[in-house]
Amino acid sequence: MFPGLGGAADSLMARRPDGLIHGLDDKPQALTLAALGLQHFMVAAPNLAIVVMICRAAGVDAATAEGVLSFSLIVLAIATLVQCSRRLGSGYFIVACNSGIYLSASLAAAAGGLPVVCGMTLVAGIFQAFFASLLVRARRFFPNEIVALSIIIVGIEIGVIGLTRLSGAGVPGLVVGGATFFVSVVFGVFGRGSWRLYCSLLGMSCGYLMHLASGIPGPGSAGDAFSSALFGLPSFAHLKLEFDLGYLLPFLFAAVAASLKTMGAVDICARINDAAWVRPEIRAIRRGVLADGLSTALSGMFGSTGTNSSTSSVGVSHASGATSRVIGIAVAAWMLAFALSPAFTHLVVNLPDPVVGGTLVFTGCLVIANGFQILGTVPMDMRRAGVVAFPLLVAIARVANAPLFAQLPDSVKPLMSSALAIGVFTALLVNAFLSWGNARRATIALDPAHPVGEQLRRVERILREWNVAHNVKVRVMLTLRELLDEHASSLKLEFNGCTLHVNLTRTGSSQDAQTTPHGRFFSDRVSDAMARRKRADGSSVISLCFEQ
Amino acid sequence: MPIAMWTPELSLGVESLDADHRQLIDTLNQVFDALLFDRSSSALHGALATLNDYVTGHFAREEAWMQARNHPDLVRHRQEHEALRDQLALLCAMRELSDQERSVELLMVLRDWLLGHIAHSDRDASAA
Repeated sequence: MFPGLGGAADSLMARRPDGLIHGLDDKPQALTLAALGLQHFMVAAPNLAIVVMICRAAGVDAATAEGVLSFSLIVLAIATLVQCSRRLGSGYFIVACNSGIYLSASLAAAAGGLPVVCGMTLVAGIFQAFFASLLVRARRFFPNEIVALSIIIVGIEIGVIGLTRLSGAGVPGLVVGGATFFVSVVFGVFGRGSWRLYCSLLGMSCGYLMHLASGIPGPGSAGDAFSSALFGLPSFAHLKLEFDLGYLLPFLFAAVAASLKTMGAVDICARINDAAWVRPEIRAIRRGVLADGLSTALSGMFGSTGTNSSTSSVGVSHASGATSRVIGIAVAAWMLAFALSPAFTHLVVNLPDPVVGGTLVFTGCLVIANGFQILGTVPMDMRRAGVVAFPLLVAIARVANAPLFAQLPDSVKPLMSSALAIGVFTALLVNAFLSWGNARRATIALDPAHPVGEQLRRVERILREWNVAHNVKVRVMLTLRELLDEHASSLKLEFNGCTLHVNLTRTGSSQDAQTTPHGRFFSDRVSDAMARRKRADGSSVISLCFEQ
Repeated sequence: MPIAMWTPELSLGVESLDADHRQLIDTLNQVFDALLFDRSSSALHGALATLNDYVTGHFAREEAWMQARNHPDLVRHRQEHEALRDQLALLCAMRELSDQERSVELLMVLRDWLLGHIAHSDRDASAA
């Protein structure tokens, strides 16, 4: 990831963190592997409720829904394997799951039937695959505040859909849905170890049992699961694609949000697996987003809904110290086993609405909390507050069906059909507008007669005026303290609100301290990119960049 | 975020001296973390106190170990220790600087200590 220091100093950069039991390249024993695989499957399994819900909205019968669920699991198995592959995916252990990001767009498209949902999911996946390379280059247009905002809106959408679902079966349904949510919360907050890990699954099981005991009419009989075959091939009857451009924008914006989420998931994995992490691994991120897009496209082709990275699973692998990519094979094996089990798919397809609702409310809360966590890392100023606050207000107004949206022209209505689409679109516009002309530039002539400390104080004053985040400011100070010497002649600073570019021009001297590993110990580690180029006049320029 | 890590390649094969070196790397990581998260004031004073103890205890142990082995580089090694002691004393005396500036200076001293002294001089001494 960054150049070696040579000799013994190289040993200062060992990457494997102490807490890892099964690191990225380790191969756990067969039994351990099977147990870890099942654990991750259980964590991602509650998201199957999303597929069930979309199937119900599309009006498909239970037998077809079981086929959809089987193919969902087959695609998730392939997606997990691809994502874990170093050549095809990010190379990190990331489990694929059906994503709530596509829920709102899919529910809208479900009005046209399941083939429309699948067709538009395919389009979204292909778009995401192309978007992967663009995303990395256009990183500054998608700052952390927009990532956080999109996650918060997804959480709100999921939560509101869940609340609507659990209130559909009257007071008894409300009690069952409330209990599902309550049990998940209790185990999530007060539970320890495995109890906490499976809080969502425990809530679902408890709700399912309560529903059976209450006698509320459900979508089907869960008891039939015991008479279903343990193994069997899924039905191909539902494999049909249709396209409706009216739903294009919501799906494309969902694909943008899915890309941002996967980008974050790969970045978190890189940090977990590398104790000496300093900067995002651009290639791994690009491959990760590409793999995610292709998985979504494959999911659409096989008659299912959009997929994404399971951040809950990433959290579990961090907590358990098992991040080996080989675990991905075990998870995929469990997914295939359950995909080929009609008994299992029958049980999931017959999840009662209030249980699905309670689970979605809980999931929505977790997603919102995750978004706020990311937002907490952003240094707030008026510009960033504007990028978050106004689009969030617009998204909430959309969720609440504010009359404003009915008055808009028909041509823009497709964009308005999803809170995520309108929220992210507004945020991109606001960000572009508020960032326009916002770039700050300064050039400082460095006089060798002045002490380094004085030069640094001058730079610090400028960065403070520009409201640069503290961590960026001190990283720049440390880097410049290392690089400034009698050969440094001028310093150019440029800040666009997201990235700080530093260009240091040096005169004379072909060999100086900054070319040695020792002389750039901190610069290598704390900058997000570092390049050096020679000029025809013999001077050289060191270009550094620091992401906020 | 640890910026430097201890690995067995840095080991001199003497447990007490290795433990001292590990402590130095821990101190570097603590000062860096504190700088990054705007907690320089408390961390800096703790780190300077630790290092003041370090230059008396650790240097004496290292020199005694070299003396016991009649090491030919003992004199040069003592000079390096003396220079590091002076750097630390200078840093403690720089009261006109802010804690953040002093933390940056301390990190530069620790970098040189780690990459120049421990990764080279000490390892050469253990290999001889």
